[in-house]
Amino acid sequence: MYPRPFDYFSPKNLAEALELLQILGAETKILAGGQSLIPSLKLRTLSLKNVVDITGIKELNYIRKEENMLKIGALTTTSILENDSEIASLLPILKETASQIADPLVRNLGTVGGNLCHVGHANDLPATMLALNASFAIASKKGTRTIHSDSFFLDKFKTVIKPDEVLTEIQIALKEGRVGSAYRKVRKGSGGFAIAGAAANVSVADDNSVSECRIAMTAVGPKPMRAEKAEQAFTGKTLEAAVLDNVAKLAVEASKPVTDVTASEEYRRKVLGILVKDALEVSYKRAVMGDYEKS
Amino acid sequence: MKKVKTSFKVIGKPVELELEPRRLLVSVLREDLGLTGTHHACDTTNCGACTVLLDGKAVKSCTMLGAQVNNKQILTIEGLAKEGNLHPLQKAFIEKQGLQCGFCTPGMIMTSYWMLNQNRDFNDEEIKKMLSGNLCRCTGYSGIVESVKYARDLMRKKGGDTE
Repeated sequence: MYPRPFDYFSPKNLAEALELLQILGAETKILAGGQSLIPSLKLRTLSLKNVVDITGIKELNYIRKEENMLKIGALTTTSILENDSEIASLLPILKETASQIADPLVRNLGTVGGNLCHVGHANDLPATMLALNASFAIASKKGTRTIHSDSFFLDKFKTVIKPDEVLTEIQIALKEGRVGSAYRKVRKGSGGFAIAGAAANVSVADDNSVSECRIAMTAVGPKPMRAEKAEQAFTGKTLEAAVLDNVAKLAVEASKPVTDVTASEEYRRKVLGILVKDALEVSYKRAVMGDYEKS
Repeated sequence: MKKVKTSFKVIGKPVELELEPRRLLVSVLREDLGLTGTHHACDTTNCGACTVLLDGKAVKSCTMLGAQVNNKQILTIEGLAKEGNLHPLQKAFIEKQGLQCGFCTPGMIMTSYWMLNQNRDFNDEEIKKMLSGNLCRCTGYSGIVESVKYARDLMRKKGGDTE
């Protein structure tokens, strides 16, 4: 089905885009890759006055490592994230997450920034960014502000980004030493939405106990969420079955899944527990063994 | 709703159109340019029958606006055969019976074309993964995967076929 009519703008650079967004005001959305926006417009669950297509802004398409910071331009496609060799060795969780988004054709257009800003309940990158302690640079005509991922996601389809702002960059501090992270997901069929997903990021001390842990979950609530009690329960412990069982139980208790066409609430909980354990185990082993299963 | 001037190349040929912004690339190709080899099927970004190459990468043309391809290059299934000779992928799909009704075939072939023209080798498992965005509702997938493997081997002999 055709979308309802809208006006279309394709700014050539960021300055032009910010100028436009300030003038156009409400009922305007950014097209970054369009792989969620266009389906929503076609289903007419969303109608807009204006679409600002920023896919032509080359300055927002990059992956850079600056000292101990990984910087990803918001318009980097998920297929670039999946196939970048530096990413695969620095943070295999990013490759792992990207390669599980929809299908290869969608990943050729879908962008990292789009995946983060759409916040459909089943988007994968939000949980991974929460686990990685990422921050987001957001620009408007007034300047740039940086928001930590913990405060970025407000609700389903809702972030802190205002109508005149654009997410420009994802920043991830690269930690030295024994650190590992992983993303696990189960979805319905090929290319289907997540039933549940779990992202974990674990630091391990010299005595092999967990010194820091972050766990975030996909598709088990209105927005991506962390499992803080579960994180605390893993901290100070080592990789033991009883510990993992308890941590997974706490994560499942923190989740708020709903029944929909993809899966029932009960099934999502069941799957989530298994995924949390798996993600933690792989993260821990990556932290300790370095090259463990770097996909 | 202002129309948008859009110039792009389809199978190497320059095109200039005035498009209503809400029009989808798949409809522009089929209705304005008569390139009906690109199929419009599920219309929900699931099936991949509408797959075309955008600047060399396989994308779903039902999930792009026509206006978005300004200054881009599009390759559709009509551009694969050269001077009446079928592309190795097309030959392979015939030879290995990679189709029954044929509705998904243009998309299957365009995704495979993108895959086989990348500068790396794909093993059987990777071929299946790369085709995960293209659905066939007739036959199951073994004939399709066999066809792509056969084409891969034909193209290896020829040393590729880059557009």
